[in-house]
Amino acid sequence: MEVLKDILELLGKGKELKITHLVYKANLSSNSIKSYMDYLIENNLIEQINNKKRNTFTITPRGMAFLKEFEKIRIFSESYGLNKF
Amino acid sequence: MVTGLSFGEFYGIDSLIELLIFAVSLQIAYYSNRIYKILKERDYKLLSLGFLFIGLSLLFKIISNLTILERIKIDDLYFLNHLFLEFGSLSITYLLSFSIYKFMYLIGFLFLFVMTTEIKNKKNIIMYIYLGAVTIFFSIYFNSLFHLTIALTLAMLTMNFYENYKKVMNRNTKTVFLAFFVMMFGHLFLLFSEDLPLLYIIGKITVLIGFASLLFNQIQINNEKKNKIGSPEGHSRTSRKGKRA
Repeated sequence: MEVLKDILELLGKGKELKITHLVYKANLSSNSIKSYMDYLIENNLIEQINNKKRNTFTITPRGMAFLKEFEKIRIFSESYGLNKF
Repeated sequence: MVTGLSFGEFYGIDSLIELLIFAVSLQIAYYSNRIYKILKERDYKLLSLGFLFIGLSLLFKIISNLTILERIKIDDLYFLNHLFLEFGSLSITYLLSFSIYKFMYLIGFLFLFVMTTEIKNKKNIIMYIYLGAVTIFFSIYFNSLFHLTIALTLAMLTMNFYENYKKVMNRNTKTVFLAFFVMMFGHLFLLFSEDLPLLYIIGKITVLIGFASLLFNQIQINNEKKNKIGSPEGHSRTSRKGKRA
């Protein structure tokens, strides 16, 4: 869950970022980031923007809401064993 | 014949306890549903539905409490006649509300059980639904079976939450584990309350302590300081070694 927060925090600064930036800044390997990105896209927390030159990612309003509530959600999820990320 | 409506057994203490549990359950259901709206994860929906059913069931329990006839004087010559006329109309409300209470309370804990257990095999799911339906049906008619079913479900939940506590050892996981453990004892007391009426109120208070612990946990979560987004403390990399797999 911490990794999800880190990715959202990076995107939450208002910039569109390429996957290579996220790999570098979130301190992840390029293989491991894919599952996290898939999860975030599936849950509409981030979205992929397909430009002609490059593919970038941006945070959605739902992602922002998640980020604001993150710490509470994390503790609540932990309490009831829902931290299956 | 002297009859009167009570606010439940023990002069309304149980109704008050049930009202408090109702409030706690709805609070947790609301918060879990809020997370579900963000994450769209099935388990949050189950947790929310579980507590919603538990909470709403207690409203029906309070209604059933209101219909309990108190102080029946046996020496009244027209006792049977009065009982038939007065109890007849009340018993429909009582039986209906008490049955709905039991049904919803059981379903609520069943949702929580499904949430903590990963049931993947479809054949197993059908078996669980069948056994669950049979147990619920008989639990509605037999009070002791109802409390036994709840106590067993709570025992399973307690074990699952203990496993969770072993994985993540902190105050919150411990509180939730202990809350369900205490609730299990509450229902064990209620199981034997037909023979010893005092156990009824002890059981009710014990269950309330369990729910109060969940409320305490919820208050702690709500008081959690907002995550410091972008701050050096909130985004520190110093304790991490190498790349995360």
